[in-house]
Amino acid sequence: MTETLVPQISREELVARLHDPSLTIVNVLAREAWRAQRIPGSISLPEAEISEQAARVLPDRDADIAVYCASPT
Amino acid sequence: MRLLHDLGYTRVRDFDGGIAEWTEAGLPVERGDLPLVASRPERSARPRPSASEPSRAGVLAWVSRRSIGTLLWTWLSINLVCGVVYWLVSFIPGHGLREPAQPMGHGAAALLESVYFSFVTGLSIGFGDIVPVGAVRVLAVLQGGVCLLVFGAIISKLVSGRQEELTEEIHHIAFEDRLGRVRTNLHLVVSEIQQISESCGDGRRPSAGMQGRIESAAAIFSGELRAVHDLLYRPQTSPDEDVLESILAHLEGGLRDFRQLLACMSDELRRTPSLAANVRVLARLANEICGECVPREHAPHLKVWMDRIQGHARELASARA
Repeated sequence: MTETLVPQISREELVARLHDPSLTIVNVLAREAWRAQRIPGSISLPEAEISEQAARVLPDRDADIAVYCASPT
Repeated sequence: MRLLHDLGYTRVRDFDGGIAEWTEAGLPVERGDLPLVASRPERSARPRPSASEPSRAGVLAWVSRRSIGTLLWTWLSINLVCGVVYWLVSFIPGHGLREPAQPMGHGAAALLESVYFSFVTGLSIGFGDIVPVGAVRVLAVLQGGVCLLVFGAIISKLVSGRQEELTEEIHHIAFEDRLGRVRTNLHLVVSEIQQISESCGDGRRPSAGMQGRIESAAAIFSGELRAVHDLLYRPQTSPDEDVLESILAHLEGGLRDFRQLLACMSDELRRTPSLAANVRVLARLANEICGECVPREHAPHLKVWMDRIQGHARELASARA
């Protein structure tokens, strides 16, 4: 229900900003899946570890972040 | 994704199609372990050269990767080798070096003169006391060009080395300055909280008129806590242990006093949106400060302070609930 409130990023924008250092792309799948294939430059932050690791992996809370997982949910 | 939002990340967006949409569109993927797991890859530190950017010519790239020592050696060897070549070529009639009056001989003195000419050319001085004749002229021009390039690279490396030192120094000064401000502000806000707390006790409560002061103290306090949090979580530069201890001790004292103040306030005053929001921020940030959760190893007595700060955070959170 809350999903409708989540802002979306389009594939076009993601492609355009793939090498833009101000956008951090985060893969929330398990690390195995991230290893198998990922959007270039995306970092691994498995969903289960978000609360523990987020502050370390994403130190800037105001940074532009794009999150993705396997497929539309 | 909601979780990140709840953790205070403000600009999170969802790429709903996920890796499935990405691969279906035929876009490139990356595999394997290349960027370190759970660490920020370099893309944040320095923008990668984009594909459209022309790659630099081989020689320039080679030059830019070498150290000053290597470049200096290269420069010297070019001049020495060319010197010997000038001397060797002078065995071919009609080529080689010439002093204004007559061709140079072939002995040891001539070799030295050739090396001398080579260095004069390499430094682009060109006295003109010795001149190349025949095919050697081409070599002399080439040598002049290449040596100029290498010499330029050496100078630019020297300059950029100094620049890096300066930048580091500026960063250091800015860091010290920031530390100083954090300490002063913490001190001020903690004494303000203590002063307000004096209106507590014996069944007395802070009056509604105090509300503004309490709210602004809470806002500044949460700002300072954020600064300290940043300090602990961005470990490029770390303050001295005793400086950090004094900051942590102040923070701990402030949180304790602030909790007591909240405890003695009436529910109605405590629940105002601005105060409640700041308390939430304080609890969330302080909850991430503990001996084990900060990314860097600290001395045991510092960890004790951090653990106490986290303890206050939990109390704050539970008091709120």
